[in-house]
Amino acid sequence: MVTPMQRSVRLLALVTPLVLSACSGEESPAGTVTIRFAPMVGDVSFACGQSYDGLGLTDATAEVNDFRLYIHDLRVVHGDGSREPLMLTDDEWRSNGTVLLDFEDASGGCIGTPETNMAIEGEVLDTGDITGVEFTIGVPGEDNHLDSASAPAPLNIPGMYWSWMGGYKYARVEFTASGGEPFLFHLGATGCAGTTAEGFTCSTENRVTLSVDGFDPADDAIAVDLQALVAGSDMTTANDKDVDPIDGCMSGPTDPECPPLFTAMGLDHGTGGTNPGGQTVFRVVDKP
Amino acid sequence: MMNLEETARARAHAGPAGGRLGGRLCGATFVMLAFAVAPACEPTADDPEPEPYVWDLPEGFPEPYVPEENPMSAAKVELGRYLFYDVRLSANDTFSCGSCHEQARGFADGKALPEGATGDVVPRNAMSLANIAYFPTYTWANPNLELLEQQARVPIFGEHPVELGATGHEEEILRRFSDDEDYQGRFAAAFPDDADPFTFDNIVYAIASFERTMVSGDSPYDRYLYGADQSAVSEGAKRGFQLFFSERFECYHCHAGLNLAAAFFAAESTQRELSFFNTGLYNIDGEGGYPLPNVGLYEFTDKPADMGRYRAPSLRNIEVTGPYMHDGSVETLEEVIDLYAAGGRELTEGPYAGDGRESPYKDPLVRGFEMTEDEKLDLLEFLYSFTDETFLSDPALSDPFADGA
Repeated sequence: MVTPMQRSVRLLALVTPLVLSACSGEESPAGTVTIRFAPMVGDVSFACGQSYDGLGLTDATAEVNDFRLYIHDLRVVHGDGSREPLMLTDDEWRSNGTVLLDFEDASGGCIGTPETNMAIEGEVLDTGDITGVEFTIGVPGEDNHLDSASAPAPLNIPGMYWSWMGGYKYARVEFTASGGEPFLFHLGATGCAGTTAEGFTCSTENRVTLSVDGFDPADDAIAVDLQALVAGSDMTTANDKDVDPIDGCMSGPTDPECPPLFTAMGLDHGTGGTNPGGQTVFRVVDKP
Repeated sequence: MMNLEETARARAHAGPAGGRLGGRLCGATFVMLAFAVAPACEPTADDPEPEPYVWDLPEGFPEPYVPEENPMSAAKVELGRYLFYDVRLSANDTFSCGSCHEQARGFADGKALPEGATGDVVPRNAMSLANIAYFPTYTWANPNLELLEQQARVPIFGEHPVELGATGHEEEILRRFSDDEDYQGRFAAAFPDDADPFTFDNIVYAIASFERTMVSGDSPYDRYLYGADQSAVSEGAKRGFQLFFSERFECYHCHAGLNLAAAFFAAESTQRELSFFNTGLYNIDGEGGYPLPNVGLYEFTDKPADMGRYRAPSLRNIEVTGPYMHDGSVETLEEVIDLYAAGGRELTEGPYAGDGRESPYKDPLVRGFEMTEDEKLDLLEFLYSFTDETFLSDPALSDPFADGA
């Protein structure tokens, strides 16, 4: 699925050279910037308890049960190409630069909690001429193997955590199709090994950095589109339980349902690399 | 010849003995013991500042959430311990909280279904109470009981079924405590600001405070994981650890973290997640139905998809907390493992016959797996590594009315 807007959201290499501008002589004041997100299914706003048509390869009708994801390393991009970090104060949704976006409110068939978080307010040194934003999906490696029991919010939410070894679910999106078939997408690092004493490493980190162009925080929001996420997925045909016991993608390198979901997120399934074609899930829309 | 469970038990507990038995005899535990021994203190006007409560928590354990209206104090915890074990809290002077929550059984009771003070059968299995302070909701299926202070009222006042049967006997029960010289001192010490401390509010405050000290964190599993003591668990348990946390067995999706459960809540937590799951135990009507009255979360929400959804219980001390499941319908841990390996339970006869494996409401992660007998043995050894002898025999949690106490 190609939309005109998606061209404005391009993929960056995982390691982006950070150009920390020193305000380059502009006189714009330091201040607050709010990055708004808009959960969507295609062109309509997402809500728990709603049924959505035309999903995936089989035009499935499905309800959404969960819709949460972590992002980190947020930066704003100025018109002159300079970038600066969006400085965040820790609170119930943010810790050490990692933010939980929580689009479900536990109503209808949703399984999380009533609390939601769809906007990120932070401080920048230069509020002038902001034309884009960059961020990385997931939890950074140094925080990905905390003990969630003693970790600060929002890294202490059991449903967004696999285990000490597996780390956090970067994204958790779950559907139930109208025939009752579940379809789960849990994105996270895989191939992790180690001990609590010596730490953990993962062979496939599955983190991707996105750059959103043509974005003015005053007027725009970043849509996170579930229809685009599952566009290449078959959500209704039962899979071969001997090969793949779970309906949906748990991020494992051999999970046959992962590739289209990873591609949509801008990732290359199984390698931890990025999809050169970019991602299709995030796009710029008018602020709701 | 030993069966699989006996073999696993022998191997799991054959490892290096000892551990950190002395580890918890400090801090709050010590203060509580001091209170138990010292004569009951009379509150005096010139010591208005209560001692700040000092938690004695195992490594890696955050402070539990404590509601503002019921701050912890050593005196309240100790009063709660007495009340928890005191049969005078039941209308007919026969039953206490401890009747269905025995320390040696991880604060479960060894029965499939408990009976209340007057013989009513309680339709659900008595839950273990280890680390009960760290749960966001209480009981098997209720999404609304968020505080131990709320939960404690259910067994005390409930009439369907009667557990302690206090309803209609409130004055009489309170008088038993207010007339007792020992309790006069204990209530006054626990609630020094109250002109009349003998209220049911204070009783549930004290019991909840005591329950928050039921912290189990000195099992071989904890010493292995948090203490990084590689020799704390058997080699079989280490292999079982890998199976438990594998994508093949999937146990950890519902049983992980400090609680070995899906749900967790502590002082720093900001959200109470719903975490209720249908594990394919029943399918009495071919549509996923569970036998009444045990329909799970559905009882509270009226949403069909909530049929048979229960809170994943803690696996702390699971070796001694059987029988298992919300209705105690599975006798042994080996049968529990078999049930999950089969991806649910098929009952071929009886009033509840049906194939739970085919329930439309079954959680997608309960989908069965193949395992060898050796793997089952390893998994059992791992489950037995959750047995915390320090907790099961901690004097600070013990029955003060027991012989020799």
